[in-house]
Amino acid sequence: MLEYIGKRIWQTLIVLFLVSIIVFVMVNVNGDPVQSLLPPDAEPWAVEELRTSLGLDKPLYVQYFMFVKNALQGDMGISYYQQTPALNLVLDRLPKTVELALAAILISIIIAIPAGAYAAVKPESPFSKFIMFGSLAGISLPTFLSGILLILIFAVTFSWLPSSGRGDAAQFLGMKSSLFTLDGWKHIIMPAATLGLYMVAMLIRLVRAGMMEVLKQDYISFAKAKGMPGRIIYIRHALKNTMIPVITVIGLQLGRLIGFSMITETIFAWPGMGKLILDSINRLDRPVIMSYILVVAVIFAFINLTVDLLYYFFDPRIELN
Amino acid sequence: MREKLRKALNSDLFYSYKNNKLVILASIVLLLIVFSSVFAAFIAPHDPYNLASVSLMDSMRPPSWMEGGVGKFVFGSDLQGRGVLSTILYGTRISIMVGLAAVALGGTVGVTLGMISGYFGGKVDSVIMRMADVQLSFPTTMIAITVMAFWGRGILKLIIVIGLATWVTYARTARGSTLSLKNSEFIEAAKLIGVSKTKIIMRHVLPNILTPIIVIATVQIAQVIMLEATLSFLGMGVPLTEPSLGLMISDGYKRLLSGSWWLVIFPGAVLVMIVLSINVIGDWLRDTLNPKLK
Repeated sequence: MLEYIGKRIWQTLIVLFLVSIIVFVMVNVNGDPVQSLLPPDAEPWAVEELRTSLGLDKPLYVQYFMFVKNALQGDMGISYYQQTPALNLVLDRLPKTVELALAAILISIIIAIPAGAYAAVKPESPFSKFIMFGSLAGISLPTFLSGILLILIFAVTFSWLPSSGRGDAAQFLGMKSSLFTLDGWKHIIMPAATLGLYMVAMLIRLVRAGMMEVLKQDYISFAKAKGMPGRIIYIRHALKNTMIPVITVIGLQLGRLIGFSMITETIFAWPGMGKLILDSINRLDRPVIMSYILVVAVIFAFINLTVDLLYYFFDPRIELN
Repeated sequence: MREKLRKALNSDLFYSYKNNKLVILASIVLLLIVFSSVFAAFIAPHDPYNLASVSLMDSMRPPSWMEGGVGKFVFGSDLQGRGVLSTILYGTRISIMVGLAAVALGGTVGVTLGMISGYFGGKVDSVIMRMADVQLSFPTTMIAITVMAFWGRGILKLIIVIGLATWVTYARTARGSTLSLKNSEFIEAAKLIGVSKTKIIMRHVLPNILTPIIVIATVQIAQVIMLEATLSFLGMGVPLTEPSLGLMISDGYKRLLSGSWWLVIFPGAVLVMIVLSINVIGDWLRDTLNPKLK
């Protein structure tokens, strides 16, 4: 067990190392930030001075080692555009993105698990067919389009919900979040539904497939033969046993949602880190871009590691290699 | 020829197709869209990228059945006076082209690496699979957005980036199927009579792992078309001088609050119809060709 954990952590570190090289090279071979920071008629000496002060005059590998050394100390450089530490900028926005992702997960669980279970128990009913076609349609709707459609319906046509921004936030148990106010929910419901749509569609299919598998098992037939009421069989025996893969997928999807939040946040002007990164890409703000990618890489690596370990914890039959 | 056709009509695949109304509908919709976009030059009311046929006088017309609409612009027109229907037809052509080309590129790279990985095993295998692991730790969309953001717009760039961002799916499947095939008797026999490794892989392994690959590739076409539209929407895909569904929707999104819904709804509907029909067909192919994948 310990050996396995050690091996997985080592693998994770290698992945992070590779990512840091790829990101560094990619950011550095493209575009010259000096040109976008200074007016086009800047004096040559001003260009030179800025280049030196940003460390851009040194060879690339020296820049890389400086970058890694500073990164390990939590220093990712100063944002070219906002003149504040880049890592802080990203970390400030992180809770807002996580808030959005959690709301998306909550919405998708509430919809997908009952729908998927129903479609498995009564596969031939018209409502099940509707659910399955709906999930296919959900997978076929690109995130940006579903967001726009929601705005068009609920903000433009009916003016029920605000189309952009984050609502009032309130303090609760030491956490500040807009999930604790009504205004906050009004603002978050559309972006969260947009972000969660793909996951709803996918979870429905997963729950249905898993549940159909379980319903074929002997112990279910036995429970039926015993005269146990359907509701108890389906919820307590069948659904409970399909939850392990579902939990795993939800965990893994948290990372995906953080990645996808770029698009959703841009459409709804949600002040999370996805919007920050797209803005920074347009401004060639290298320190912020690198901070974002590395923060996301660390989050992903951590999620993957945790899910793997949890998997083993839930189901010790899995072989560790 | 006739014999072959008769055989095809009697096959299980065709039988299952005949009895699935949804799949028949999806393939008709898809064929119509593909056909009309291929012949866009003849079908479209005008060429939206030919300045001679565009007039600013026709800017922001609503669909023809609404007040202020004109017959020339069935689905309305945009700010530059380009007809929405015509732009959709030309844009769909690019979407489908990018979709097919990116799948062909990603599929070729992925299947080749997957077969090499599965057949040779050892160090080659671990290097290729480590690469796949690194890439899989990020969502495809995020990789594509980041790379395109640095590299800039362009259709060829899109195909390369999307193709290379999706090779892992094919590689994993190809590797798995190759592994299960590697020790079968007909491969042993080919080895014994001295057939070269390249020939074994191309002539004996490849045809036998093709079924799951075809299923994946079908679904991937839909994914890739969605990814292309997303990138174009974010301003990182098709250049502004080319028609694209994503760009049209992005244009409409900027004018959403002014009530010009036709700029979003029509290109959006076409995009969803393309992706949905491909997904319906892909689902059906998966269930019919490969019941194990279900």
